Amino acid sequence: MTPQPEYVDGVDVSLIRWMLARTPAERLDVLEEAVDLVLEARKYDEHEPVSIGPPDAR
Amino acid sequence: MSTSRFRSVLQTLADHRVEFIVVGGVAAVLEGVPANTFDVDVVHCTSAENVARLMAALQEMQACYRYRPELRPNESHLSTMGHQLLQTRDCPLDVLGAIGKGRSYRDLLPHSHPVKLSDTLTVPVLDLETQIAVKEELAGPKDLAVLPVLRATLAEIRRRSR
Repeated sequence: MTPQPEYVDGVDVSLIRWMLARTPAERLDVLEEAVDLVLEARKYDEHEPVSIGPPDAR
Repeated sequence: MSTSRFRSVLQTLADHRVEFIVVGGVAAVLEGVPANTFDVDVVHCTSAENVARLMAALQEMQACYRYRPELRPNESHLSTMGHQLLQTRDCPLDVLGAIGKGRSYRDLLPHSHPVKLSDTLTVPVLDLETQIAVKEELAGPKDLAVLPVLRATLAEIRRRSR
């Protein structure tokens, strides 16, 4: 039988367990890589260029 | 842009011996919350000595106001309980005199703990219980939206420690 996702108040607990299995430094890596991915993806939307660098670098 | 933008900001603050506590989304992630954020939020000590150190760190990071890039924060701005929404060379940085219902650095310090991010960088991070309390105090749409995942993470941590 396929394991069913476990939700608490609409929150996927498997994601929480995945994060808690990492050190704080690794959690920060996950966050920074996710931010990079989003910014890289949004570069392809020419109508909405986004940067979190200084304004003069936009 | 590198994958160390948040670390770079925290390292610069630490290098300048700034007294601060990491709060907001980065604090949540460091505590194990599967969340996302694009900025670093810190609550700083507003003593004159610390504000001077913070000014030096912000100058090194080329910090300016996000919505008024021609303006730079000064000692007067940083000595208040107000929120300075800044842009640095690495990422947005919110420098906060207080959060929630007037919780200052000194109020929050007992509710923080050191988190090691590298051999050279350990930062004080607001504990998850207090992050939840602050969000409950604010109760704005953004705060209410993130509360379920904060609470579920705290519940999972407590379940594991039993």
